[in-house]
Amino acid sequence: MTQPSPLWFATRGAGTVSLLLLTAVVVLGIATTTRRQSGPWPRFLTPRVHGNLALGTLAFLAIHIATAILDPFAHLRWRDALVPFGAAYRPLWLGLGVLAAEGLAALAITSWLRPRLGYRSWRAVHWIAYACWPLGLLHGAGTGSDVRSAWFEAVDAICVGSVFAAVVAWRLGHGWPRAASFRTMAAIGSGVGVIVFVVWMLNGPLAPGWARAAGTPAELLHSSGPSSPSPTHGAFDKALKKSSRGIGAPGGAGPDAVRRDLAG
Amino acid sequence: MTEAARVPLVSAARRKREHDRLARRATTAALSLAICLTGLFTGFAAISRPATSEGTELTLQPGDAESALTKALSDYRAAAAAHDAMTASNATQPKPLAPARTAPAPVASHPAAVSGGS
Repeated sequence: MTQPSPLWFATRGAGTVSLLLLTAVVVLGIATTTRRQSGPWPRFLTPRVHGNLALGTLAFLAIHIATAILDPFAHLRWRDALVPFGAAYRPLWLGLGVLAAEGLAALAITSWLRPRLGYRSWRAVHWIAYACWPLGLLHGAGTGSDVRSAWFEAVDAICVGSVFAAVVAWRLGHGWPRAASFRTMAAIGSGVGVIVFVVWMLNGPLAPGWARAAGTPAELLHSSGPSSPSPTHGAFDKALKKSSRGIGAPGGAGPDAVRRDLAG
Repeated sequence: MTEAARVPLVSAARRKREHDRLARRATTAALSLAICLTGLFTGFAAISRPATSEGTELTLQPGDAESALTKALSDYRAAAAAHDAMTASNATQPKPLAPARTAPAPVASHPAAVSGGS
């Protein structure tokens, strides 16, 4: 069995926080676009924190990628972090994460070069952000080992709920009733998107056999296992060992002793 | 620059510094929270799946425990039956006789007798 690796835990923790930070960046971006402000949160603060958190997201993403590659379990290479859909481990879902990371890198570079690019070009590239977030979300759900954990499901629910609320209430609600039919359709489309995601989660990552269906190499499926057997299995293992030792061997416990063990 | 023009300029610079300070404070708070959450989630990951694992394949499904128990029980019964059969076989079959002793090798005659010498 493969031994537990701190890097494997770290990559999962950093990946989850990257998704949370990306969600915060998207929500703050929408708030910037719609010029939101409230009493304790002045308007000028939103774009600055948005930019700073975007850089923070990249830093956490770098930790996530580096620990995933350095961890020996999934046999990921540096090339897998750059070329989407080429990895041996869950290629499709890993590839979505690679695309999201590359999109974020493009956003960061174009934001850095914004004075030279001009507002129009920068704005066009910035629309990628709306694609990066769902790609990151799907990557986390499709690749994540913790997708069945309550805490990870809570993180997913917070992310989906926050972005959905920001898109519908702020982005589509801003300027209402201008282009009302388009905004209504977009809101309905967002709602359908959330429902599709939930249904997919229930039938995909949350359903039995997802690791195999997602494209986990067979040797990883066979090499991994729970670190400690359950007490029941342990009792049976012990009893069976005694039984096999007892048959025809001097000093063995024999089936009567095994029956006593099992009864006890 | 006149005094009247300088006052708004100073005020704008001060406001910018104040804005920067607030933005820095908000960012620091958010990133500190992110670092704490990373530690928390890493701990959760280690607790929920202590071994490097493939998650969904390792999660016990309804019926997994029963099938494992059934298999273990059938293995045990087979082993017990084999043991019982061997015990019964040992009880009914007569023990094989001890190997027949071979006759002792003839003692070599005294060289004198063989030779027939007087």
